Amino acid sequence: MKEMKRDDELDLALEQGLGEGSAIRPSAGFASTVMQRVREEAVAELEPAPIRFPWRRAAPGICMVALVALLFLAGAVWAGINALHIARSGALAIDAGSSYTQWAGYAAEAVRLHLEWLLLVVFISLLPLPLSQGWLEPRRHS
Amino acid sequence: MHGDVPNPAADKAAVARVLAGEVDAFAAIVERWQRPLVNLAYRFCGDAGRAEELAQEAFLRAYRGLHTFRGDAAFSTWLFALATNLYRSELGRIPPRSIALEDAPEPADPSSIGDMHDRRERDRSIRRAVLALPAKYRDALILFYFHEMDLTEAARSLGLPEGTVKARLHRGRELLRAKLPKLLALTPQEVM
Repeated sequence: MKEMKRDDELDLALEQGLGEGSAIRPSAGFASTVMQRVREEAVAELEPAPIRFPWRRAAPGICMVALVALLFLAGAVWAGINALHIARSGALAIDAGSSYTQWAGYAAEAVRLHLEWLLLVVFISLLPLPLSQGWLEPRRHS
Repeated sequence: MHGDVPNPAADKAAVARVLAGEVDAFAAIVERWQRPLVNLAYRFCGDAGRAEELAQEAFLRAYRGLHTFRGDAAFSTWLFALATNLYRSELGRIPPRSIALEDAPEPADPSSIGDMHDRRERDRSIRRAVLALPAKYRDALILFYFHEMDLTEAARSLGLPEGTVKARLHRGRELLRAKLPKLLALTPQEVM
């Protein structure tokens, strides 16, 4: 019975401390602030969802670019190995004193290795970049 | 504790209008439940400013999740459960500025409690002591007294069986009784 009385006292203290007696009032603009945020939320819901990236349409182009990049890499490795081989065997005679002769030697060797095709592949693979950026379009004068 | 007279039919009608696209119908829900939600948050954090922020977030979540209200229980039950979950998780993330239970202050001279100021001080001591309890006992006590000692409502808000809430209330009371012996030695007449 004594324990019950002590519980009653505790209940009373807790009621007073946590109950209606210690209630606070929301500030004057609380409801309107909440509604403003709710309206913003509603407007945001009505806005169209962001357009998703068209992976299905882009897939062929991405595959092509990947293939070209792979070919370019293979060609570069192949050309590098050949150049190294030629340099080691001494077939590439370069006059160290003349830069013109040196560059002519490089060009001759490049033609011999059909590096022009490699350059063409590189050019084609890089072409989408200026096209997408509009670098090739005529400039508008304001 | 809920302040206004509950009106389940009006709540359900407002919910139906909001779900039909009438956003402004939500204002009726905010008007009716702002005081209980702010006060519930205040019980959890003990800070009026933060209580309003938490209540605002609770209303926004209620708006977003209104389609999940099935209507088989009272709207208030659904709203309090949602708010309680939010408040508990937010306070787990950023705890209220509280002190350890053993450091919770008791009035230096409880016999001096006689006027309103001292009674407020006593209520503040009680609230501090409750906030300093381990979360599971704190939550049970806050919800039980918030719902005017309705165990069923407190259990629904917490999403726990009534037996579990009852056990937590018992343990929470024991901890408080041990912490605040001088304060509780006073009879209500002495406090008044």
